[in-house]
Amino acid sequence: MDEPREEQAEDQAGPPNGKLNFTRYMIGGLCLVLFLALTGVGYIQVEERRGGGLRPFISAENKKCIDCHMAKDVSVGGINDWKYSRHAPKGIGCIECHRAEKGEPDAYDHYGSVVSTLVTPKDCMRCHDKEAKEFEKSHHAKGAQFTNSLDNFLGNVVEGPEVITTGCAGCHGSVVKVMENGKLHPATWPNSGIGRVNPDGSKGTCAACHARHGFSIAQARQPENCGRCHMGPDHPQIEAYYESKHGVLFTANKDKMKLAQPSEQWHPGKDYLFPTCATCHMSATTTQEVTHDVGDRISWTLRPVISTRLENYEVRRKAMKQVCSSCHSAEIVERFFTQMDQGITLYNEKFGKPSKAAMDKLLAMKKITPTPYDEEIEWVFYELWHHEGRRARHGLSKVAADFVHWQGFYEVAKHFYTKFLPMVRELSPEVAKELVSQESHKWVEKGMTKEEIAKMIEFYDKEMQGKRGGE
Amino acid sequence: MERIVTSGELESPAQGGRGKTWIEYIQKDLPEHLEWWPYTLGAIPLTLFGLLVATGLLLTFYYVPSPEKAYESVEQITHEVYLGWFIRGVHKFSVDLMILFLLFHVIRVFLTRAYRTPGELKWVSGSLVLFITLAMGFTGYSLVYDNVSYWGMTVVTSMLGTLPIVGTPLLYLLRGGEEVSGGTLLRLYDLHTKLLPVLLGGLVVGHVVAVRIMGFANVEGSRSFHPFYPEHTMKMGAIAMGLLVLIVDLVMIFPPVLGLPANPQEVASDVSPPWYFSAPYIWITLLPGPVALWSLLAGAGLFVVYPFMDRVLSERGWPMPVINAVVGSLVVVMVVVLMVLDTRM
Amino acid sequence: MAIIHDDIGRRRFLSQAVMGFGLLFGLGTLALRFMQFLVPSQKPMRYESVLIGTASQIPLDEALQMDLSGHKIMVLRTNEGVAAFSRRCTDLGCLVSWNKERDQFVCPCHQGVFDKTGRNIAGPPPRPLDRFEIVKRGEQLYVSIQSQMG
Repeated sequence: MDEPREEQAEDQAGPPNGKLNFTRYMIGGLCLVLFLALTGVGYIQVEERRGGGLRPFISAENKKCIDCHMAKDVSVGGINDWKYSRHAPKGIGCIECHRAEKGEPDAYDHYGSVVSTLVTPKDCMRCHDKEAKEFEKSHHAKGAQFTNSLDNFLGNVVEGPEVITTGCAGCHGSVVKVMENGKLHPATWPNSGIGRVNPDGSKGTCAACHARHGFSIAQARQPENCGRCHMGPDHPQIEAYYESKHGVLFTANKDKMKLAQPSEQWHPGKDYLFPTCATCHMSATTTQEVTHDVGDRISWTLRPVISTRLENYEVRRKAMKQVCSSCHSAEIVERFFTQMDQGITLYNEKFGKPSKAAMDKLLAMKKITPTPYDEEIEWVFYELWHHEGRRARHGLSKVAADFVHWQGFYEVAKHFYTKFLPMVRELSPEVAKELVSQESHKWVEKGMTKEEIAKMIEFYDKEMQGKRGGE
Repeated sequence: MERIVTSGELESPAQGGRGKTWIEYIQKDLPEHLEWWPYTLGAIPLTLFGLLVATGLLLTFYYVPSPEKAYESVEQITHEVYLGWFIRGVHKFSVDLMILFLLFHVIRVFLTRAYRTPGELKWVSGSLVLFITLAMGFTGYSLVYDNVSYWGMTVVTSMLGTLPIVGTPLLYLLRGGEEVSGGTLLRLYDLHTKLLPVLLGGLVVGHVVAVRIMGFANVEGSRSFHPFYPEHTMKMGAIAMGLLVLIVDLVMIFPPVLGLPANPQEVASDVSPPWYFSAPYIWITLLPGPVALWSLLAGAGLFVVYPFMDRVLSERGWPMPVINAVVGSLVVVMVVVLMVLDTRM
Repeated sequence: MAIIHDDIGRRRFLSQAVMGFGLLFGLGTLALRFMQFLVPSQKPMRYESVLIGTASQIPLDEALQMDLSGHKIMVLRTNEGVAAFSRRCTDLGCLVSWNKERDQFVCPCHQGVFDKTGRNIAGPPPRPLDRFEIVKRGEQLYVSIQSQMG
């Protein structure tokens, strides 16, 4: 019975078998193409999901907070902001920061948990104690303590107490008061002023720079962050910065700044090339650690009528020079500081000291009342050192030429000679005489000497084709 | 009436032959016309069905059928899971190609009138396969829970709800209630991953078995000639491989995307169903509700019983090959016109 | 039509070999891709230091419980120093708790007991508690945990 079968098989082993081989090759070939295609598939990178993909870790406790807040649509923005923070993937959430002990001045019961709305450096200190300690001893922490200062009088009395709430305290910080029901007094909170006095005794708020709830280091390193307060007619740091070369370069290269890197990987000159405020005043370099005491590297205080050197100024100056040296050569660094120091000394000697001496004498002679701000001369003097005087000095510290001259010394000189001097003369000719007794003021009374005039004419003839000034 | 003399009959015990083993049954010779490519179109949906089952199964490892999580899980598959885009892309392209080639297959069968007696069952089972495949397409797309999914679900179940007597129970059955809700999604998910695939699998097997048992309608000049194994199987194998290569390449060039998430509050103006529902969609848009629905149902019914109609009309002497060619072309043209209209509107 | 009997011997072997290899590589890679899809990848882990505070903030002989990125940790401070243990019992993964009176970690599921150095001293646990490395920078303590890269 096998024979017919075989014959049948052979009969069928006709032309199709040639095709059979071909078909087998086809299959093999196609499979190899498939193999290549699939290999390629494995290498296709999936685009990064928005946000980098680090998922927040929400503990059971925090889930309660988040679920209820989301359901009631309260502070949803803050929660979503937190989700993208560096705290979130580590499970550092609501309870970890807002928890409070019963008995604390600002603690209250909130749906079964004892919390405090305010998160102060004492809370942040639980993990970030180095930063908190440095901050506490810094000038930033003292921001709200100007109760005895003229500025306090200016705000409270001359202007009005409501100005203190949002104006002064907006940068300097309020003194937060807790009301009877445990809630915070509206005249004192919300407030993120850097020197805010908290009910638990600590000073300041980290959220002034590391805005909640993202607490982003990249955001804190942006100049705009500091510029929120360090700006304006009385201390134009951010404006001077943006005029300076550093600022210009920063603006042009923002995308290369890698602002989000941790401090071990954010060194000037190496990881990034264009300094921000943080760079010089706080951030780590290859040899220095981060400091949250912003005064650590500042040798002058440019705040008062007369600028003075701070305690241990040599150490501080050295620290600042080291930052500059991350990018610059020693010659440039030295010369910059020489120029700056000389400029500040000019202000001190020519304008600061004499004008202060004059005001002191006038007060002693009872030519002006002890009440501040009630006479025009007090306003002129105030602005002389507090506004244009400071503008000049800040311009010097940042190599911002326009602030040094037109917005600084030009206005200092103009107001000194055309406003302050006549006012002093009106009140007391002797004090006025002493005011301009220095050599540098001689030109006002006596004009220039013949030699000086000749030199000037020579300059105009040689360099300015005979034109005279003013043409 | 033509009838094929199958080799099995020659050997049946009743005629003194020794009968066939099941292997020999499978090995039954195929008419040589089956070598010609239009006749291999049926193998393609089969391959694609296997691919869809495989990729579909893989997708269930990540997809979550709840309204809150559905879209997110699809997004996760598309953008986060390693090769997720690939598996989803293969699944999507396989559906598109499956339906496309099913339609080509239907057109070929219709034009060659391969449903002729005694093969009407092939056609009937095949038409059921077609309808269930379309249902799978609908339920599958609804699972993505984007805007098209949500409004598609709403519209389709509403339409079914307008049927007399069975409409409302059917609506409630599909929606799991009066409104489209999480229950709806879950039911469509069950339909898509459990009930319909089993049904479809059974029908596909039935269809293939029907084809093999009932043999092929006679084609002029075609002899019983080439064996199923290895020739025809190898050919199917080569087609399958070619298809795989095509799909993988297509997925790499056109990776899957995701529409906007479902917004139950507002129907987006640009919501339109997948291409294979374009024609019925425009049909419904152009004609008043009941007319459109009933005409579609009537058309579907006619479609299923067409072989019997053909038999009756052939007996009356109508030139069915010509009629089929004309009717087939008309329907195809109409469908294409409707689809073009959809892109314009 | 000439009858070409070339489905014999070497030719058949060769074509079958090509097909065989092709199928192996082609379908094999497809199966591989399917498996890769199913198995969530071991994302490259990197170590992260999470700040937990200073040693003085942990009461003596107390264990602070914390949950960092899903890792459940107890930080114990004794006279010998500070150590961070994983709370996962090495028996079958239940969470252990610190019992101050007994100076031991106890697991409620099958009563496994660990001493204050994490060593398994009683019950089913086969090995000591896993530890997390503690890094000290100045006064501050950091726990090194593995977290997935973005």
